Amino acid sequence: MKRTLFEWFGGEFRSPRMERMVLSWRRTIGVIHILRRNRMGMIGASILAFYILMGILGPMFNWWIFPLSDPNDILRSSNPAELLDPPSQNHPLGTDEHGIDVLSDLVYGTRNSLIVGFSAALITMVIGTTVGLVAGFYSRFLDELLMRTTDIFLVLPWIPLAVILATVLPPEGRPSLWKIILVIGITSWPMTARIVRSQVVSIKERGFIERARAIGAGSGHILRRHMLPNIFPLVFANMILAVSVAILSEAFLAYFGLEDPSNMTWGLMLYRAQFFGGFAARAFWYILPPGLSIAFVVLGFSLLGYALDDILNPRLRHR
Amino acid sequence: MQGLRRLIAQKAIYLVLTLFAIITINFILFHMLPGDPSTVLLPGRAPKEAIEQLRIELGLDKPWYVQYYIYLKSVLKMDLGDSWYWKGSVIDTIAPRLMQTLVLVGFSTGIAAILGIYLGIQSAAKRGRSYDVIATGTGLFFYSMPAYWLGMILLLIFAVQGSLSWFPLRGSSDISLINPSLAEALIDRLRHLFLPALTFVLITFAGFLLVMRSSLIDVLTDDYIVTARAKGLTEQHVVRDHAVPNAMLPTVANTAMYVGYIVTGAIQIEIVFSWNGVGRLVWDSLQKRDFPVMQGIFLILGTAILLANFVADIVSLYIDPRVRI
Repeated sequence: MKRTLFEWFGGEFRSPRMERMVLSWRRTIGVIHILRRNRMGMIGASILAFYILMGILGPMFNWWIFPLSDPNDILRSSNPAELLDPPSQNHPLGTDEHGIDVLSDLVYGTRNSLIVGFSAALITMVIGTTVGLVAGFYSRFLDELLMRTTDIFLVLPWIPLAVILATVLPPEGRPSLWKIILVIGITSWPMTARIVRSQVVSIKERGFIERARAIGAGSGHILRRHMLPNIFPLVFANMILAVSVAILSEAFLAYFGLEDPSNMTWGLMLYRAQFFGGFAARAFWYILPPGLSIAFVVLGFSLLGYALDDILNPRLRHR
Repeated sequence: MQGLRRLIAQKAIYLVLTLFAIITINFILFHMLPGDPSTVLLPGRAPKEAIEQLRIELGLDKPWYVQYYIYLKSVLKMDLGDSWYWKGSVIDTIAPRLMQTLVLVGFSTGIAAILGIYLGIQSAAKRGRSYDVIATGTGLFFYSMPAYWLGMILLLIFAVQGSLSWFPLRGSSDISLINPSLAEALIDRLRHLFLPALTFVLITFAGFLLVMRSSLIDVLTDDYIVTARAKGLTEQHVVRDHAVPNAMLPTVANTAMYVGYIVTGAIQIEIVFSWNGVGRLVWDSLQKRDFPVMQGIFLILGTAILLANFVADIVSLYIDPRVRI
């Protein structure tokens, strides 16, 4: 008989904790199996795998395939002899207005853009889930209060709000990657809060919550053991979608010149291309790669997110 | 009907409360902005007395609650103060540009909605087939692009000198035209409108497509559709007359949620194409540190999004009996 790793370790008598781990492991494997049959989801996952590998490995092994120069260190990397050169043997994607080759910009930008995307989405999820949980689970009054607040945040115009926040947040006047992450995180949680709340409200009415209460479970226990595991799939699918929104938002904020010039991102590349000569020189080789990368990664996250939502969201499962 | 009236009254109260909250947030945000207005308004090394004089003139010497009260009062009187950079009041600065924005956004959102809803219906009816994959895939791909980048690319192909040069590079009309005939002026406006509107349609139609498609797919699994099919109606008849009317309802409700995204897209497109609208003004007032104008835009955009949501809520209350429960 085949045994799983967990059964080897836990034997016949598994602790409740071990039992839960085994269960969630099996569930994850099940989801991956379903996902592998979803063509759109797999296309999305492959695009993401490509870019994530590029973001992690690119800067680390830059001498393997092609010598890259670090665009974050403009002083050392710039080369005044090759400003805005079209693609050539030495620079497969041409050079930018500092004479740094665009491939280096792109590879280093991948890492930072993905960092911004994931971190901002994480902040969005934590705030959104907390607000949604508390609003849906506790008293009517808290629900009203939190949901009205959410509604207010939903109608604030995003670009002016984000621009002002980026100016106001400390350290004042000094752009940084963390500020961008924070601004995106604290402006995009309301949708998540709404989605989580509606899910919590519907789960709250289900029988097993009542049963848990009847045998004396406290609110904290129910939230941790029953609510969170049930809303987690939804939250996870939404987080994937939130990453795509965050990467797009980063590109907008960069376009307003709010980004730290010593942290290359795709948005920063586009900002420079537009305002520092690339656009005027019709440097397609400079403008196409970052924009297409943003489009592909956002598309990848959307495809994967929708596929996961289809699989994990119980409301949609019957279709 | 009694219940409906009560719901609308409740929504109206929330509308007023939210509006009040937006005004308050607006006040707080702009008070947190760094930099004293005197450093923007007065040249280089102004004497201390002049700075003091200006602070008193702008009411900055008073405690915050008095300033808040004054601000509330003037907003209710539709007075948003004077622009620091442009001559005249904030309202006079924003109003003509708001018209320009409405022309661009209204025109292209209309086209995007029709295109998106049509493709959404077709995709849902042909779910999973190549039509659906191509339409939804293309829509999602454009939806994933930064709007300003798509604008840059279109400019590089169709407008910039040395390219095809079919369309003008910037602005909403050609000011060098002297006494143009009506037809000339119209053609000139349309030529200027074409690229920004195209960008706008391309990046927004997928939003309508996705909502329409998913809500129609939902409806198509309902029992009454099975009944309609069992009666022997043609598939086209079932979709058009039985499913689409019901699937339209969530699309209306979701369009309101979409207004914020449309505003974000419009701002970027206006900047890239130098379209002299509110979005361009956001950019300009940021560059010139013209805080009153920025504050005014923030308020007006927030109110517009809020009203759009309110209208969509009311409309779906009227056309969809299920929402009333």
